[in-house]
Amino acid sequence: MEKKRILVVDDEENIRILYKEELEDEGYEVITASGAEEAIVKMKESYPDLITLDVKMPGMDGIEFLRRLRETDTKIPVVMCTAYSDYKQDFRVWASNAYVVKSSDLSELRNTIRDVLKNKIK
Amino acid sequence: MMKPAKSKSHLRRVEKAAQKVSEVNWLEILSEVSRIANSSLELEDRLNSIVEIVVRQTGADACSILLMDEDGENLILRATKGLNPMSINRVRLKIGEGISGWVCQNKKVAALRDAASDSRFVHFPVTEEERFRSVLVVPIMEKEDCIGVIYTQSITEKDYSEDDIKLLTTIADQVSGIIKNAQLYEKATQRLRELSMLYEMSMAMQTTINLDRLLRIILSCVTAGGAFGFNRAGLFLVNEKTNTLHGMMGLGPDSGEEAREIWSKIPQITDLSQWLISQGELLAKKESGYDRFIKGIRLPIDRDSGVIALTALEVKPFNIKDGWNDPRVNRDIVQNSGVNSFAAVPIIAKENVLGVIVVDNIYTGKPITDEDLQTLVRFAVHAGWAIENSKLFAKLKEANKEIVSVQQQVVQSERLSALGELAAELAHEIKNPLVTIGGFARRLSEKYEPTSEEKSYAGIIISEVERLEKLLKDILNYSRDIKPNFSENNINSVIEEILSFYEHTFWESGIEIKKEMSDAIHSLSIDPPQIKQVLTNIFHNAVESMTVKGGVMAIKTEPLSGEEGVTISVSDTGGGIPSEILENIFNPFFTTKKYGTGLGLSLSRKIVESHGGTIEINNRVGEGATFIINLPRRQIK
Repeated sequence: MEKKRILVVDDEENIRILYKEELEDEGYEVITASGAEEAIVKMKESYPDLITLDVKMPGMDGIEFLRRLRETDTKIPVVMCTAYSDYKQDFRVWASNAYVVKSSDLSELRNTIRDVLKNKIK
Repeated sequence: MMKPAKSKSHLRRVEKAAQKVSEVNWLEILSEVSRIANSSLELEDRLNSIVEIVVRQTGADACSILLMDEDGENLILRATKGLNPMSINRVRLKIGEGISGWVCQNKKVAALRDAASDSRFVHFPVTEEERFRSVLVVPIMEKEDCIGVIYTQSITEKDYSEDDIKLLTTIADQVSGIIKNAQLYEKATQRLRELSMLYEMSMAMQTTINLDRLLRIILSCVTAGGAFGFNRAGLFLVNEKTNTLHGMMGLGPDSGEEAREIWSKIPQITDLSQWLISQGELLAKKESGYDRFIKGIRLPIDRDSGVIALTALEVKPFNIKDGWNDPRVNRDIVQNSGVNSFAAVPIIAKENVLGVIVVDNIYTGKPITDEDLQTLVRFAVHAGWAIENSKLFAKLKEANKEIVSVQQQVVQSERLSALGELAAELAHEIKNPLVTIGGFARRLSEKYEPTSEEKSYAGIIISEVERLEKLLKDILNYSRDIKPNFSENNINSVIEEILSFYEHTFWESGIEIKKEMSDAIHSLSIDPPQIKQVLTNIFHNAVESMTVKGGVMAIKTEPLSGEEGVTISVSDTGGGIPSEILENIFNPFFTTKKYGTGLGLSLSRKIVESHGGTIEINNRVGEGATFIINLPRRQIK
């Protein structure tokens, strides 16, 4: 079976490294982008099976990126990641498939990605 | 009629008397009588003047006027010249009784030479009429009816001539005119009195927009001796939500004795409005059995709920004369009210029926006339407008209060969001590095042998990062600080204050308030605005849970067990809180309401906790919920 490809979008380099290593250990192919603009370029190069998206980023933020993405692509699963839970109230993140509060314990992120890819969460 | 004896000497005397009358010219007598008749004097004065003229001008030794009473049953002596003045109003004859009664019944003249020997004669000692011998009695006719008699007496025996009879009959016609005028005048005065009474009442009603006070004034109007003077009056208001009539208030003494005491203070019409206002105050403090009786009545507005419901349904007054045998009357109400006759009129404003006023005369037994009822109907229109005004005002007040409270919430939430933003900013900046530190520490930890020193060092990093992450979360969740401003207050009066403010809301939502306030509660150190916010919030939730069907909200205060303080319980019958949301109700931003902020209960808990107290919920799914607030006496530092 071919490896599932995940695009990690986060402005913090260390987070990108952590996620990449952790998710590769899980058996995924991981590509990263430091912002929305780079993510758009990366997606054209190799279309991912899932995107993890930081909400708060300089320039175009995660929510805006999600909005534009959904205008053309309603299918690709997106897991929103952020430092605090307040965005759960924001209807604009409802366009994502899942929502994870960032934590040093990455098990929630791993489980969520697995579930989304299994289409457990739509 | 007795036939007079006809001796020669007697005839001479008769001629002489007749001579005397014709000498003084009939025209003069009649013009004098008619001048009196058309004067502006009171009825009694005019009658007195006429009997005087008769005695002075016709040679009679006494002249009296007897008039029929209102019921048309008795002739009553109303004016006399020659008889003892004490007889006025004391001499009463039934129709057919005595010579006067005979005259009235037969509408014929009686001319008696020796009255005392006539079988019809009835002697009244009070009149001191023993010295009189002959009498002439003519009926006072109004169209076909006899409305009284004129009665002349003579000391010497006398045979009355045709002319004597004709003269007195003509005078009787004049008297008839006087009485007719007087009755018209009485009617006009009555109408004027009624108008000025309605005006006074209207003034009194305008002095307040507080519904409770207003209802009291309305009922004072209906029972005031100087006004309608009904013995008791009860007021019902329509609850549109439940389509029922609710007994709001009853006014009336509990015993005949008490009733007499009240009626002895009947005010003059001039200070009626003042009296009504003060009476309203006075009665506000008074409890009566009748009040409790009325307050206990709930009637669905339909055809089967008796005449009070019909009054609202058909928007017309009812005058029930015989309640026991009237199929329209609700059995229970007749039985418990203790009266057989009563009347009910609708209270109307803007074509809507707002309620019903019920009146009776339980102590005097005085029948309620159709005129009484008509006046009451007119009064009820005034009352309706006053009640409508009061309700509108209450609504306005409530709307205003809501605006203020929403405004405060907006200010509060703006402040919160500013703090929140700051905290979020900080969290983001700190959280990302923490995630990487902790994340890599975990990866490290996995690579070391379980028993190695490195593994335990990594474990320390992981747990310390976890601690910091938890701290960040707490900061985010509780970025607010509530410092109460304590002062000594009695919680019972704080509760009463809130309840009275929302009285109208409760009533409109069909919610009954049950209070059980302990007297054993001493004042506590609280921040009144904050505690009010908590209670208002809990009351508000209770009302919302019952807003569809109505229900009962029970408020209870009792001493706190174990230490000095108070326990406040607020129970509703709104079906309780669904178990799936129960655990979230105290969380900030949790709400099931369309327009709620979700801060109400979490803020309430914060406030109670800042008072050193606790807030708990006793939930009965399907029945209702009870919020229990425990506030200790101890001062929070």
